[in-house]
Amino acid sequence: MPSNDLRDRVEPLEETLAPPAPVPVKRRASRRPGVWLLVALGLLLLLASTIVLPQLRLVGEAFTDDGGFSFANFIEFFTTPRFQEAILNSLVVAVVAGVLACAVAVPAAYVLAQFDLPGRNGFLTLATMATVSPPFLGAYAWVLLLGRGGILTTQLRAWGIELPFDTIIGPGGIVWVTVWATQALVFLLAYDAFRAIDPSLDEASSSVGAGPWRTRLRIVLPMAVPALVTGFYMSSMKIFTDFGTPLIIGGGTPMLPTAVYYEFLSEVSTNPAIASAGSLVMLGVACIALALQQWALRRRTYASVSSRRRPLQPVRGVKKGLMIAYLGVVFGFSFVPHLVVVGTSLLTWKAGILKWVPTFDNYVRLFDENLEVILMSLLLAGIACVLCVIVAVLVAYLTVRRRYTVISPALNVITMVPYIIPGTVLAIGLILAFGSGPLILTGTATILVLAYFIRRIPYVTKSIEAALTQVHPALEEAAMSVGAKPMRAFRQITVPLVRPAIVSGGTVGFLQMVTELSATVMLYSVPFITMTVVIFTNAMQPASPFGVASAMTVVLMLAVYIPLYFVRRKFASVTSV
Amino acid sequence: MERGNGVAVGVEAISKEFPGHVALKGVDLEIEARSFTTLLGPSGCGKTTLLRILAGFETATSGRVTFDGRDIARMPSWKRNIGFVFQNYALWPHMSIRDNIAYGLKLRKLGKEQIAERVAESLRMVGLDGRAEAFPGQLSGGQQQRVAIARALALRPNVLLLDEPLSNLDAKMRIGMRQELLRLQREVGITAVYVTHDQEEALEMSDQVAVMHDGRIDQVGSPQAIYETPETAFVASFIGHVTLLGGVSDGAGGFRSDLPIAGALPAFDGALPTGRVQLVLRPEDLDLVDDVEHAHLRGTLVRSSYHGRGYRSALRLADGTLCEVDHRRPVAAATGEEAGIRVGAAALVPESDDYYREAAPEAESAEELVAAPAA
Repeated sequence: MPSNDLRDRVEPLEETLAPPAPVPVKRRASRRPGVWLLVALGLLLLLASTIVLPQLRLVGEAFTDDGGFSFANFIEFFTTPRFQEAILNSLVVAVVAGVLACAVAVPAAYVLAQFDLPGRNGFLTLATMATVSPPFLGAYAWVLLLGRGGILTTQLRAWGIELPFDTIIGPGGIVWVTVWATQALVFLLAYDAFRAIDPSLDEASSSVGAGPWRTRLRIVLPMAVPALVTGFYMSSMKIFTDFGTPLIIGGGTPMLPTAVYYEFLSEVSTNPAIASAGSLVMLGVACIALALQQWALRRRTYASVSSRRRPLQPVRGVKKGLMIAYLGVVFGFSFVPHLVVVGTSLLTWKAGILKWVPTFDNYVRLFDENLEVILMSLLLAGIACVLCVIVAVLVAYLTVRRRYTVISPALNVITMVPYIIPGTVLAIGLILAFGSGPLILTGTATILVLAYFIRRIPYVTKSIEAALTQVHPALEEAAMSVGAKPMRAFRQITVPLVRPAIVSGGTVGFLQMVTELSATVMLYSVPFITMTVVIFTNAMQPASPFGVASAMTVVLMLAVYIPLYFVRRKFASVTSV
Repeated sequence: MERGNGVAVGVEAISKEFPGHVALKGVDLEIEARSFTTLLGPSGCGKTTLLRILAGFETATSGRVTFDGRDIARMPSWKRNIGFVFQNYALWPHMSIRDNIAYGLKLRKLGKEQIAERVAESLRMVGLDGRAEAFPGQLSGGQQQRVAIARALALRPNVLLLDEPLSNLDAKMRIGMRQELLRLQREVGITAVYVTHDQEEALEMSDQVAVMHDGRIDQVGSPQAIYETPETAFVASFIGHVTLLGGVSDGAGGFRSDLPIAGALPAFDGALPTGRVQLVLRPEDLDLVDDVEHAHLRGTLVRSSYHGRGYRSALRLADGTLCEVDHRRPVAAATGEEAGIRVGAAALVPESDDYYREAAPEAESAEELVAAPAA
């Protein structure tokens, strides 16, 4: 029998058992702090100072009246009819449009995830592209089409066709625009979830005698519920905090974000304290929504280690035609704004009136005047995106896998806070926190990068979190059992397995950053001007050069769609392994 | 492959508390180097938690874990030099079979040739040479489990920990893999700790079985000892298919059953409990006789079925207990008629009527145990 001495047996892995481990006198074994705990603490510090601190300044502002603590701002806010109306409108619009977005997107995501349909990657690309479209652009384009003097309205009237409504402007218009603007978000989440479901679960269901519809409703849909809950939450919150759309298509409908915006910026009667109180009301609503979402997701972690790919079912004939037609309609409506913008960028505008004369003048003017703006937009968003992905992966891992008692929930809550902070309010907080004091960032590019990072961190984190819950913890434990330290196991096993989510989440994050408007409008300063600022200021002025605004939007889209195209190509090759 | 990697594993007073429940309540266990030990018990008994503590995936709330006498309770899993085989295989889906196996070897900074050699050797050992370039998704469940075993063994670990590794395989594969696992374990000379709820697996493969129940080890011993001289009602009822009858024992072989037993029972083996006890009757130690007058027990025949080698019949005793009996010859009595039972061997365990019922073995395993001889 060979020697029993461990040192003879431990192979090149010298640290394995070689040094006689000091036998602790204490019998109670405790987990060592470890590198992950340090990472968690560092992240907590970073996120607390950039996300929580500005909001605390906001809270201070809201509860201060005549230099002392007071509820006066809230009392005034809640007793003013225009704010009361704004609360109700915002809630109703968010829920109705969120439900409709899910109703539209989930069947589309399901048929594309389940059936072998032509143009799959085309639809997925369209969905990712749709999420890049700033909502205010949708509003702008639909008003151009269906406003009282809109292109389509006028044209139909000329042909003797009367629309059932005068103009799309109003609360209905907000719902219509936001449904098509946010459905792609739900679509992508639902699609990923449907694709990730272990195919043997459906097979098991049909093996016990369930028909296809029963399997869809009782197995596949419930398995995707976590993603659907998240999708609904994200879309309705995006609608709730949207600022550009109500401003353009609301027709004066009071909504919370616009009411707060005007209260802070209005040239007539600026009242930051009331605006802060209103912001806190929005935060309160959003906190309740977040609590509901978390509650709905509890007890719903479906871990799956199936490494088998979900097969695509063949489909033929009328069914196939109907499916493609449905996808076509869904994405058709989502892309009407894009078509309108491309079209109007190539037509002549005279004093805000469209002439049906093709021209390239809009583009010529654009490149003469605005090239640096384009480059600046890309640079700022690129830096913010890299930061965002790194932090998101770490936070997602810490909340899903490590579950430190206080730190993980704290990280989770802090990263989720920006969901509920409208860009305008975020900007107010950043101005309050970094406009004076030891660290002054206003007027720098840093504050824009910071704003983009904060605005997108919840979305990127969520998408990576969703992917992480699909990776069984055993895969990482297996790595540790063969000698990988936790960080290495994380880097070499977990990160590659969630790489699709990292790539798609990061891409979507970048696209949203480069099209960010509401915070940028308040935080930018020369020379750090972005495309969205230029587009918006053009679009909001009556009789302004709409053609140049449209051309800039086309350039903005190209500037994100081209990188998107390459990233998606790489992404596809990564996942096809 | 060099032999004799296995270390002796010691578990001393291990307790593990999770928020809301206690998974392990002071467990002691000695595992000899190069032996095959099974942790057997129903789900929720703490067997997997104990295994995960051995692996370093969980940290015990208190107690010591030793490898060859060295306390490793605070050593993280990546330093323990263990092999862990997961129930769901846990192969990394983004790596080829080769990369899955080579991963741990690369971490040990082995040379390229040495890694290639070890990968090939491991794959050969589990009969999968030629599949190195495949991805986990392209392999069957049984093949994936072989890869998982190869991945663990390629590192020549000191201990091989297996968490219900065969439970996701089909029955035939499972039975074949038992022997293969044992052969590999013997060949490599590794200490194996194997978690299962399948008593048949435990009995067939183990040098030592630790029957766990409710966070404790009820009994440790050879498969024979566990089977033939159970020390608790739980062990008796979990291993095999038993009838338990209440009674009083004097600790010296004397036993008075609550339900009258005619004539003397055969002598009991081992140390005997005193006071309230339960008589353990296994179907294969009983015989069915038509001569009711000369039987130890009598009951009404409820059912009788043929199983190839013989019959299994169930009788309802006077106190309502259902007693199962294996017998070679067909029974004369018809269903509903009275028949007699002769006891060939029996054991006594301390009475404890709270847990043996809820923890009765899963139907599947019981059926297999019955069906196996016929197959």
